[in-house]
Amino acid sequence: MNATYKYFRDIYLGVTTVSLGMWITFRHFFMPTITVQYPREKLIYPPRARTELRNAIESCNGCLQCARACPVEIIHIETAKAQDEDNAGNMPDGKPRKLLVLTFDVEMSKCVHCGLCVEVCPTESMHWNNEHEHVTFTREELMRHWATYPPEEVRRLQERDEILKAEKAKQAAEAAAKKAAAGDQPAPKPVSKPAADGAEKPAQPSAAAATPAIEKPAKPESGDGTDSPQKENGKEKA
Amino acid sequence: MIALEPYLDLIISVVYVVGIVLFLSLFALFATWLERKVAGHIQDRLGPMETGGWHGWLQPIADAIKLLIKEDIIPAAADKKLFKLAPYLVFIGSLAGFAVLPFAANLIGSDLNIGVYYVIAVTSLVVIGILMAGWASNNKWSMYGAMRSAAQMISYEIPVALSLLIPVMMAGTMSMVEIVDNQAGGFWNWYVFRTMPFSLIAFVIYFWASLAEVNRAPFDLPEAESELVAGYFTEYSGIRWAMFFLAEYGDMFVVSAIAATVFLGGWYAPFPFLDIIPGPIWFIGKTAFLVFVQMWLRWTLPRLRVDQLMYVCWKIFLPFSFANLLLVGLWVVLKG
Amino acid sequence: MSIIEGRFEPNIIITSVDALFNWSRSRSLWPITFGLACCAIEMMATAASRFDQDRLGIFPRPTPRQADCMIVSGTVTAKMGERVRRLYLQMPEPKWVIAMGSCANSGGPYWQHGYHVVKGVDQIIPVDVYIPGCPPRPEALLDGFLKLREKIEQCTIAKKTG
Ligand code: SF4
Ligand code: SF4
Ligand code: SF4
Repeated sequence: MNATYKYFRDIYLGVTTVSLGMWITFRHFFMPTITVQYPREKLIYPPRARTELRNAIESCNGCLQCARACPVEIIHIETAKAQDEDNAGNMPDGKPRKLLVLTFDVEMSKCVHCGLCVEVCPTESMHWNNEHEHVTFTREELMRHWATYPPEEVRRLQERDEILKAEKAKQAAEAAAKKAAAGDQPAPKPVSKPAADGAEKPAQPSAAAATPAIEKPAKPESGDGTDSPQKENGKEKA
Repeated sequence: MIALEPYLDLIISVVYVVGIVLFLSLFALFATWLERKVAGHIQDRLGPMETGGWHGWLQPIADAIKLLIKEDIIPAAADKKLFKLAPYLVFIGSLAGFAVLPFAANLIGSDLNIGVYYVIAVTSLVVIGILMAGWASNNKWSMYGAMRSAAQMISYEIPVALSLLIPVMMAGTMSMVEIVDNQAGGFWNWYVFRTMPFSLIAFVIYFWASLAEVNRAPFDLPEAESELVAGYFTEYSGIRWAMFFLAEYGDMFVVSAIAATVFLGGWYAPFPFLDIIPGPIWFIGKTAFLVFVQMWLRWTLPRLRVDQLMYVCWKIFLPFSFANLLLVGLWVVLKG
Repeated sequence: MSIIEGRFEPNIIITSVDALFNWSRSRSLWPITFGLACCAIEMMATAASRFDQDRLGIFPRPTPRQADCMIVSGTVTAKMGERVRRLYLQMPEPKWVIAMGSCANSGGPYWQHGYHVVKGVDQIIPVDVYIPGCPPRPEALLDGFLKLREKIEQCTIAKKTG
């Protein structure tokens, strides 16, 4: 009895559910479609949607925050201190530019689009540009070079930076020697600074090691963003 | 001057066959486009849109040319002769069905007096082709697909045949033309609406079982993508696969056309005054509608399990067909 | 190569035939249904109603024998790399490969410490189009297909000179 009932109930259910399903699909057949016809129509995403990563290099101050935040370490930045002869101009916020961004390379083929670089960027020069057409035919093209300096210029400016740094180091050493001569004073601080500096600039530690006593070299350092607390202040000011 | 008289029949046959092959190819092209459109709109999307301007109407042509010029792979481990033969056999099986389809009273390949029987017999040829393809590919997915296909098509042959017997009994003939002629004069004379509800049940059973015959969803187990890669044509590429595809759409047309012929009045209009529209248009229209329903079903229903498939066939369709047959037989006897 | 390729000298007929063939090939790109990791989800989204890759004639085929291109959508582990390569070799010519996402491009998040990850699928199979992103949005994938079309349109069936 039960089996017979189940048998006919199954048939009944089969017929009704199929009819219902067909009715549903029939209704959808005449519903307006929701397709966005991509090459001709485009969705506009909110600014923080992870679309194509771009850097507006003219507003980048070379603080290296993004390079440090990147979890896969694919942002490679080289900077040089701006001198009067460069006519570096002003940052978009009106302050004079302190660092020249010589190279700004992102290996886009490894980027995980986490957005951390965009989060930390104090000048909002790292941004998502709401476009999708960044497909390439070779892997090399995915290495994005955003800085505009030609290679020989980069070399020249780096060398100039080295020379200036060496000079400053010499001055600092002399000053330190003078101070040491005046009052016997060891320098415990220098140890921490080079560590924060990382491997980015091998020339700097010598300068930084000698600097703590002197005010002057510390200033470009703040633009350099070696210490994140300092950077936070900079962000708030901006 | 050679006397054409003795060859006239031959020439007409050849022309007819060529015409049918052309028709089949055009229909398959149109049907692939329609299928993708139906699938798209049922899923609230658009289907082909870009190729060839208006709603992607050139899409099937692009696909066909591409398949023609694709590399033709024959696996090293395959049984090469059978592998090459199988697509043609499947295609011939579906093409042979066209021989007895009455597009109009005198537009029929051959008005056999065993028309219905012939169709049932000849569509089974496809099973052999599919088994051949599955075996020759030397691939386990192909083999599974072919075995499933054979099991399913042979099982479902029985409800198909039993359901087709009902109009045959009512008409008292197996000739397609005579069956259609018996349904002249309005849709109330169609066999699907006579002897209600038995013939309606027969029609529904025929339609569903024919879905299994042509391996369409929800009975597309032989080519189940999620379990069997692509079933029996897993190893076929390019033009050989296109033959299978052509045969599948040809089969769809044949089974729908048979349903239209024996149940839905063939080339006759639903109302006598509409008979001014030529018969082939009605016939193809009814068939195309049934093909559309097949697609509609395909994009509505999920795939059945093998045991469910067999359950539906042997435990539901078969008893109902038998009961149907008995009752209609009784009805015919009492009336006659 | 398919049967007719590389048999004729370049001439006017071949160029028009080329145009037809390239049109058909680029308009009917069937990828093999094949997803490796998270990017595959976005690949499925591309097939779904909002972006509908079928509009462009992109119609996934389950078997490599009937596919024209392969979307390497996700992390190619060393173990999977073998299979990826095998599937690629099973596809009939002409065939194309789309590397979708950072993992397929160059190892992505695993490029430094991923001992188990192939650092870029182009180390095992030739890649035609690289789509950056993690995962790339469906638009980016569709753009990849459009760029692939451009590439296909430069193909020819004529004999290679030299
Ligand atoms: S979005 Fe890309 S570049 Fe930016 S931090 Fe993340 S991984 Fe690095
Ligand atoms: S965080 Fe912003 S301003 Fe600083 S280096 Fe990176 S892009 Fe430039
Ligand atoms: S690129 Fe990103 S989203 Fe794509 S597979 Fe790799 S980790 Fe997943």
